[in-house]
Amino acid sequence: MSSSKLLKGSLATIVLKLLEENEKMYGYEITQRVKEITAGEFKITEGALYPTLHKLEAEGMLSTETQKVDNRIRKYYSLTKEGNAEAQTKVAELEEFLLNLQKLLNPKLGMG
Amino acid sequence: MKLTVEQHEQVVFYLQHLDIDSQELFEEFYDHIVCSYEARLKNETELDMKSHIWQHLQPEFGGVGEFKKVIKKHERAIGWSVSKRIITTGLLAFKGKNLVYSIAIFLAAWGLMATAKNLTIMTGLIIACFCLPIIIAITKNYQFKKSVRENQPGYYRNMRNSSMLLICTLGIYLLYNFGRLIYQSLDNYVGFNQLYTEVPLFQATLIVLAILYCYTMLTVMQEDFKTKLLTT
Repeated sequence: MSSSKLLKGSLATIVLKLLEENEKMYGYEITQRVKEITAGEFKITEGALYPTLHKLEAEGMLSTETQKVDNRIRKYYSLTKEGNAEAQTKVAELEEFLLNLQKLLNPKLGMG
Repeated sequence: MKLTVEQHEQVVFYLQHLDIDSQELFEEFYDHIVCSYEARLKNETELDMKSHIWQHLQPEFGGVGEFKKVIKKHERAIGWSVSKRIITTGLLAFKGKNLVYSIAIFLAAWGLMATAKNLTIMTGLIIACFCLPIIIAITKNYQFKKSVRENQPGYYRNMRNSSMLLICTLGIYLLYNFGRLIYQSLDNYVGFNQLYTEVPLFQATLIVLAILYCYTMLTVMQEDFKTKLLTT
């Protein structure tokens, strides 16, 4: 299975985490930040990113603001109060999941 | 970077080719295309916009199919977001200080119907409450379209505006069918028609529901309806 398929399920968590660390970000910036942090190992496709952003916005996790940059409109996303709480919950859940996954894949490490 | 007229036209053509006609997605993808072009230009100085779009951007995005999926999902997300916002705003009428105002309006309507015993007042109020939001939605939508015509940004609608306009139209449709229901039961002074014509408590409930609908739609439209483009 490619990393992009594994990534899909945790995309919302990644977006929330990035926005927790950065006050506001736009779509392209998010894709580049993920690429940069993972040294190109993870690549978020735009076809997956934008529906996630729009869904989180519709759920009230993200708020948006538009700014004019070089004569074009840029849409910035930032966390709402609910989004901030959700980010912490989701990250904790994912960390726990990864820990359990590691125990399953490598039981010796889990025991240590 | 600022695009040349030709580059701008190529981006607009591409977005129109994908049937992206709403302000929200158009502006977001336009910015995305330009950002990715800027980044690629650092390594490939001779790259032109057309090649970037067709040879790099589209395959990276996952092809036309992925774009179409994003458009569909976005439409659903906007519809859901607007409906949720309307429900949340409507429910605010039953919270805290607003509940006192709601009860006061209900008591006033009840008193009015109990003393006046005039169905015209009720009918007039209900029709006004349903017509006002759609009149305002049409006016605001006209202002938006005018702004689009003047600036010709490449898109022609705003999805959030369209959703609100649709909900206002559904409100009128609901009122029309409610009116038909009453009209059909006029000869039969039992059941629903009796409630409608003789029970002030029921009449007051109808009036308050209509006022609540009107207040909710006007509040949401005031905050969310786009009438001007940022570029104007």
